[in-house]
Amino acid sequence: MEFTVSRADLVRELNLSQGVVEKKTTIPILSNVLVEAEGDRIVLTATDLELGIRCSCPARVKKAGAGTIPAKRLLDYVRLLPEGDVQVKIADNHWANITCGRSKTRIAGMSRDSFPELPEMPAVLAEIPIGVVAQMIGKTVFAISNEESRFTLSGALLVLRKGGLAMVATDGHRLAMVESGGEIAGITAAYRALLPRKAMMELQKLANDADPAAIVQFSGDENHLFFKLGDRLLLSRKLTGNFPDYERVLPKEHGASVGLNREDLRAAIERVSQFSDERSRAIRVRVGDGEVKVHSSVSDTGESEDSIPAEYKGAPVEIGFNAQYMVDFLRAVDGETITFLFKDPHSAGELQPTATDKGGSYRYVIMPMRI
Amino acid sequence: MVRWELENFFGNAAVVETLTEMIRGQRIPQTLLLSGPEGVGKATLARRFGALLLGHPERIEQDDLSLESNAAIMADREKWPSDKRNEDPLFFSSHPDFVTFPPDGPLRQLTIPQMRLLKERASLKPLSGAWRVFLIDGIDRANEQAANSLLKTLEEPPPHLILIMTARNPFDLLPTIRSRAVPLPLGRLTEGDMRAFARARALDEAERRLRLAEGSPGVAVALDLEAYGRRREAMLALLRVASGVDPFGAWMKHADSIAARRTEKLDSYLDVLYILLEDVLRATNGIAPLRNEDARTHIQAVAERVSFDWLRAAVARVDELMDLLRRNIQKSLALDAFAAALRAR
Repeated sequence: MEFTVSRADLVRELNLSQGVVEKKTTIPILSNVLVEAEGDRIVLTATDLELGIRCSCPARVKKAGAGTIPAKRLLDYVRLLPEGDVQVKIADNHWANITCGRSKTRIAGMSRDSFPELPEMPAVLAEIPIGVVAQMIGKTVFAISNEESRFTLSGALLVLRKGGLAMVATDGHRLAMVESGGEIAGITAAYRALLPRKAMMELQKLANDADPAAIVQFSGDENHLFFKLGDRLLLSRKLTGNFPDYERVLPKEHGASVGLNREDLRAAIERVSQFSDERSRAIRVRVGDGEVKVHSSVSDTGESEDSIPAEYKGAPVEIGFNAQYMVDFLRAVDGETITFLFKDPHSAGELQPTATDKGGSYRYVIMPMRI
Repeated sequence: MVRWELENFFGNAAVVETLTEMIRGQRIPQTLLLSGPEGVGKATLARRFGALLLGHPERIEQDDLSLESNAAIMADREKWPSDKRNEDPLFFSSHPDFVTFPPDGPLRQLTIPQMRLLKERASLKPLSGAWRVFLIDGIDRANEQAANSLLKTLEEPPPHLILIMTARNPFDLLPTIRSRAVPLPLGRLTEGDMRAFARARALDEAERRLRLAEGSPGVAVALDLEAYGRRREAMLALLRVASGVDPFGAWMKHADSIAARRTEKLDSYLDVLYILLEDVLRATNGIAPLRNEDARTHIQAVAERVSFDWLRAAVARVDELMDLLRRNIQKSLALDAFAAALRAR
């Protein structure tokens, strides 16, 4: 195989594969990137068996073929080359010769035969702007469980239904659900799948590098999920298991609600939580006449209280929450004000942005703590 | 198709038949425990079984731990600091849906980070087809915490996962592990099976290998006769000294050369010592042939000096050393103490 490619293109595409390339040493082929040259393009594929990424860029292909090259070593070297054309040639003994101007390098590669075969993308199920996907991920990913034994919770539920898209994540103590606003093209049938956290992270990386309006083609088969953005394809194994029935967790109605300035609330909770118990991170939120008080105390270290003005006229209520859970939401949500919905100290509380854009919704439910 | 894969498996026909039947009837238990002595083919059978379910046997066979490349990876990791090993838990997966978790580190143990990785990977669906097969090769090498952390996965494996565990002695395991798996005990091979195996593999010095391997094809193949000869010479010298045939000084030069071989583990010597003690017992009772028939004169000399009580004490001492191995005892000191204690009897 032999081709010539621009250094900038090669570095850009190799960079994308770095998050997916296996850094571990036990399966050497997975630290390699598969390079396939055909027609007027090269295709780069990397996988850690959990995720796969396939990207391509234009190249002048002199001799079509395929081979694998250690991904990190290749990137680290190519990055240091001067701007210009890079010539790559992989010999039958799997050694890759890389020439650029007056620089010449040989890297030991491996046969492509042992590189895992990745599945082909089936028919497209939806076409979603990457900006929407990234935003939905940003609003849910923090609620995913870190407990490895609860494997159905180690990812987010992706729901496709007529006219919309929803993403839900929970760790059993809190639940974040976001629904896209606006029409999503291409959805003809309902579809649900569990998307692993790692895939969500990689999708966000793809988004960082793209125009938010660019369209992601989404698809799935029995075991995999596919996201195609232009010439780049990210695929991930699905997580197995039954996601909890989140619709039953979402409170139908709350007794009361209060609007609060998002920044004020976040700053108050961050300050006060310095004095909460390190393990439980418990704080008390007291909604009273004209203000919301946030309070926490650890008997032998100290205590702290903050108060935020609020328009509230009902009976005072005090509920315990995990400060970290509240801050997670307040950092992820946009808008100046949020609405806090609640009933009593034994019922779940809910946070929402006060104004939602274009028919979308964002709901965040937190279980109360007994203090 | 089923026949073809398992045809080349020697011995333990009943277990092979059971596994074949499981696939034929598509009634496959999700947790299996293959138990039996070293080298009878527990992991080999697990791989063949996996290949029947997943295809691509050639890929799965690349994860055979006895292959030189894999053994080299594992030997290399022994030198790593434990932090690095914990960050990069050991597993092999040449076939994307067949994952092998071998014991790791100088003490060859299954670690908690490996089990954590297993659980994380377990929840992901297969790359293709309906199944993923995970092989925990040597669950008896997992410490209690690591074993306990597996219980939930063993009890409720994800629907696509088949978890195969191997162990030399199932009764070394926590009862909670044992009771969660379908047990499939493998035994040593008959002499006929072993001969058929040796012919099929065209083993050199087959007679000698078969006598030493004692019904274990894996041992017969893996046996490094040269290293074995060297170790046997040292261990024979140890027994001659311990039984009072030779003065203590005769042991010193062997002790020095054992101490100088830093990478060689004490177990490899103790395994030889067990075989020699067995031969001494055979010789005292006139049972022929000895497993080390070629060293008969030395063994006979020891046998004439010792009583049954001495032999029993010697075996108990080796057992004790085996137990102490995981505490990283000093090789030559341990062997010196062995000889000294038995000379005193």
